[in-house]
Amino acid sequence: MSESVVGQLYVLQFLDDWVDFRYAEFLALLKLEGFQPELLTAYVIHDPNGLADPSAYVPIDLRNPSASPHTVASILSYLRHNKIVQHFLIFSFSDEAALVRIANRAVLVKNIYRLWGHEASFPALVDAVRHNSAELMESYLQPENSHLSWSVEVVGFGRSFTMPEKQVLRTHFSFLQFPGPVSLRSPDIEMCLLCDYSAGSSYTKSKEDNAAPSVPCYLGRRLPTVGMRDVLKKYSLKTRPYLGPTSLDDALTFILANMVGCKSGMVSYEPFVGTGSIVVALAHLGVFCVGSDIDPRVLRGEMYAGQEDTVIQAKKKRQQQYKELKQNVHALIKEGSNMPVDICTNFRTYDLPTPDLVRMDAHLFGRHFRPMDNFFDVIVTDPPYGIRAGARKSGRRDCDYQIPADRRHDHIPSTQTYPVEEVMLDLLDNAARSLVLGGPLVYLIPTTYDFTEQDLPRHPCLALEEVCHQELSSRHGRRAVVMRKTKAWSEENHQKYVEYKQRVLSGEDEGFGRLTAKLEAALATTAFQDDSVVKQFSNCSQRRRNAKERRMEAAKACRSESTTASNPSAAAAAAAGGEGA
Amino acid sequence: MRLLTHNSLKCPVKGVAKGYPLQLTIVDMEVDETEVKPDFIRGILPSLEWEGVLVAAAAVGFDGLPESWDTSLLDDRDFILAMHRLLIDIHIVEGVLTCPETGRTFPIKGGIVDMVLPESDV
Repeated sequence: MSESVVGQLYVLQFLDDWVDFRYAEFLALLKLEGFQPELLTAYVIHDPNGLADPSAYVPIDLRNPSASPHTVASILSYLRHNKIVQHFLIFSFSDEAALVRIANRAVLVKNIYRLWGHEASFPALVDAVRHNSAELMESYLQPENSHLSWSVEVVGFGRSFTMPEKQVLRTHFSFLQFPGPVSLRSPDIEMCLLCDYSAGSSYTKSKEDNAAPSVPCYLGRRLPTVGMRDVLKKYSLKTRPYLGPTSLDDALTFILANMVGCKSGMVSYEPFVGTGSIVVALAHLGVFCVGSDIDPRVLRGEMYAGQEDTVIQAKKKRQQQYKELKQNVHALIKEGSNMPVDICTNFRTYDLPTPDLVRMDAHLFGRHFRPMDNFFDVIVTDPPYGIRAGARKSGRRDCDYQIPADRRHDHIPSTQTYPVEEVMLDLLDNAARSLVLGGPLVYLIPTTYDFTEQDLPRHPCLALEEVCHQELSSRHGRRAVVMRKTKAWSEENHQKYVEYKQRVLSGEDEGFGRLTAKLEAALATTAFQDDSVVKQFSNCSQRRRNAKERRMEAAKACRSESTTASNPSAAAAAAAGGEGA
Repeated sequence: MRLLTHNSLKCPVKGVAKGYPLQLTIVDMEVDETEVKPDFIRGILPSLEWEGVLVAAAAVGFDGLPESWDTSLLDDRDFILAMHRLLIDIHIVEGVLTCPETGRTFPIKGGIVDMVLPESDV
């Protein structure tokens, strides 16, 4: 390939959302395709120590790119550890088809481009590409490729260009003489000129700059990826027939599924299936799902929180599938109004296989499944941690009666509170028992801003692999935690777990045992004034607080000057009043 | 509920010695033919409880399965297809699961099996 005159390098553009999840998702999908991120060479765009300063830009010699000591794994790890948000990643890769597959599954990968040039400023980019243009264009000028349509897209990242400005920039590359026709709608060769204004002080540059940007620029051929946009639109909660108050955000369900490398043919278990929001994503990826929940209302559809017209659409589709086609929508609604909407409605509407559902107490998991060491390939779940929905387990503390056998069939079993520490610890033990060796578990857990990994529950058979943070409010967030079963379940390991669980539940544990207390403190109604709890002030609220403090200081200074001389007691009262205000 | 899941369930009553395979009585079932994935069937065969598979097959009225299976059957296309139809394509909508040891019954309604124990038996 003539493009390889500049090496087989790709630049990946991440979606500007779920920032803490993007690297974890991409690395997991690389591994799913069989690549090791520790062996893939990646390139530093800016000197990481001076990221805000565009002059610290480190150019890559594209003709000799091997002179880079960095790998994909090391760069992403560096960026995460130092909390640097970088939207582009340059790396070398040999299998373009695999990259397309990865981009089509990753929620957080926006585009991938085969790199043709990358320089610190636009004029330099034009020169560099012109220098290589004969070789870059070689295969595209061959007769068999002369029919391919093409286009050159101009994108400012962090800056919007007007159409005339784009045209000016585009004309600089008119030496790229593709023989085929121009097509703006899905061309065969989609060239893209990206000007990256995201670094530091570039935002303040003037408009004249738009004619010859002095920011890092890329020229690349966009890989023909479609991304997850259509899939996410199909499964959007806004149009889902059956919803509940705790249905998980659809983008997050796919991100979690990607983070653990779900693929077709796996068997998964969801101990808190609820409205089945996570199972929708797994079923789409071809995973055989088994789900359980203790609450029969949510399984039978009595926790419905969706919208009327989506319900009507869901019922219409069900009736069509059951071959009761009628053209009259009103008749459909009348007939359909008695049809239950439940967890399986979603799957029938989306044409996905329904999960197998069991009404059961996750606390007693070990008693419901026969001893099997390797039945489930993956566990993806969002446990109820008591902020919006509490957990229940079966049984009663002071139960001193027996239910006679003839009354059992319509007895409604009592349930009792299931404390969140126990929920999480049981989840880890269930995972340790039933996962295949090497199988992953991913769950969500709410956390405060002074979170460390010590806050997480532990199990002797599970190793912590990944933690990603999502901010929810100024006082708390939640984290997705990926653990992997590295040791087989045994009586010895189970005993260690039982002792750890005892310590946590009796309040002796300093790590996970403290998490609920910290969360309660953070979410208490008076906590928003407490600096040790609230870490995430927006700039606006920070300015307001500073201004208020300055006003208070000034008022105090004024009052003490004017009153100390004449009236000491009034000055003391004013000072006390000022502090209390 | 599919029969693959039935194969993994056991009676949760306290003190039960084994509690599986659960006896299966079918009142209403549906068959939804789906695409066979041979690798998936081959992958799960070793972890199946074969006695449970025979119980399920008998309940459905499917005979022709051997008393025990061996690895030579993994290459038999008809066997793989039969296992797929039995374990994946059949959905029990109404029925009862019964523990062979205690006789405790667990109803299946609307495809969902209810295994929550009354509080006195937890």
